Amino acid sequence: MTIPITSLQLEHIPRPHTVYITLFKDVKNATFLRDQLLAGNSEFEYAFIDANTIISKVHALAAAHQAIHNLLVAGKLRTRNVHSETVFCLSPNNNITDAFKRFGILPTTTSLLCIKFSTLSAPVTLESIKSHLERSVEGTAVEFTDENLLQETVVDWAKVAKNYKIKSDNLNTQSLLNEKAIGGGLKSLEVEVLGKLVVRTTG
Amino acid sequence: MTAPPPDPSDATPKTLISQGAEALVYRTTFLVPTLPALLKHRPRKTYRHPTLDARLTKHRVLSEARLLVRARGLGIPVPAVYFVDEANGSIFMEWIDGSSVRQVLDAILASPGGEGKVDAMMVRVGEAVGRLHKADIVHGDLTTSNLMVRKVGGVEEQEGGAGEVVLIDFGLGQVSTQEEDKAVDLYVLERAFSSTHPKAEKLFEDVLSAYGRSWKGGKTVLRRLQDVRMRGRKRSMLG
Ligand SMILES: Nc1ncnc2c1ncn2[C@@H]1O[C@H](COP(=O)(O)OP(=O)(O)O)[C@@H](O)[C@H]1O
Ligand SMILES: [Mg+2]
Repeated sequence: MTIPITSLQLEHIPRPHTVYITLFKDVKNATFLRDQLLAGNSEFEYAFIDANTIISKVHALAAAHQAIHNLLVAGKLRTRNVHSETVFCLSPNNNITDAFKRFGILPTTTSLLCIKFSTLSAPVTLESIKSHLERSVEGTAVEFTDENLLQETVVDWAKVAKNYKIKSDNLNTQSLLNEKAIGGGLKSLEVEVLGKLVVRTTG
Repeated sequence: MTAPPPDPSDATPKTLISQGAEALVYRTTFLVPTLPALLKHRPRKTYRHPTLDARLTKHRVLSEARLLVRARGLGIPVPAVYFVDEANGSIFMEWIDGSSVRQVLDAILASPGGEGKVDAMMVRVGEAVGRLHKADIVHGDLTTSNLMVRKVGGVEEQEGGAGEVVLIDFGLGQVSTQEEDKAVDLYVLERAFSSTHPKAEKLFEDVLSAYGRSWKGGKTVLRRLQDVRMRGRKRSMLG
């Protein structure tokens, strides 16, 4: 099995850096993966995010962007590393434990978003991540796209509404897909969610 | 227009759209090339002591961002903030696709009978300012350039300005419960209207009546506006 990995550079963040992202559905070993994080196993330095809480690519990238910014600015990192920071940066508030409970991998997680950074001080290759994830995650990898986030790994709209205190009227996959087809929908929800992430940083 | 890039190591394309006394404003994208964004950057002022300059910049950037976040959280129409880099003096925010109230007025009032087409926009301006003041936020620089009108359904909506009115530029904003501060906001806006277009002065009455209706304290602020006007006139007579 070979899994699709998206690799990209974030805008406005100094090069060189690369973000590798893989999305899994039907994950069967979330407990094992989470245990590796809890044990601080250095082979498992990833942001493991419950993909049900993520509405779009841009949503996940905003957290990754803030995390790498926090890494690069002295004294800004609030958690252990840039990977845990990414999970923290999905949260609209400053409670770290709460952020992991809301957005991080849980024993019950079946849709998993994996993010791995390659930076100047900690370079990683695409090949090494690919083979490690292939060995470690029991699940089906799908490409990291808006469509797959909406339809394959499935968004828990009630959770999204609660996490970001957004009114849940019309917050469902079908209405977003319909609106997206005519060019609105997801975009305006993304704008709203990005605005909520910033609440934490401005205090 | 040319200006030094806000961060030389940043390769993302950006176009300078405005250069004010405090800030350089660019149209750019955020995270991915498909998400349009506005970058407001306050460059270093080399004539100031570096430590003092850094502190002032950080303070201003955070103040502007916090006001936007606070207003947005209350459902007041302002751009969503995407990212704040206070050390570098930058705010990335939602790109408002549309034109300023100033541009809409210029375009519409140029044709005879145009006044009739902007009534609804006047009401939305009054309501937006009313909601801001109800939240005890004072704008500090309420001009017709700092009010934008969104395009509707992706088409240029200069005709009539039918789109949502969005308040921008909170660089001089503050939290205040003072009627006086709110009345001064209205006075500044009134002056901005009359200098935008001779016909706009009459239209401003619609802004004020919408404002007065829009929140409980509105009427008191309108009464206070009378005093502010009087003082303004006296001051201009003294030269
Ligand atoms: N969020 C935005 N979306 C689109 N255009 C904007 C936005 N914010 C500002 N602008 C444009 O840039 C100009 C300058 O921005 P502003 O925040 O008013 O800076 P200044 O403090 O220099 O006046 C505005 O008059 C407007 O035309
Ligand atoms: Mg301005």
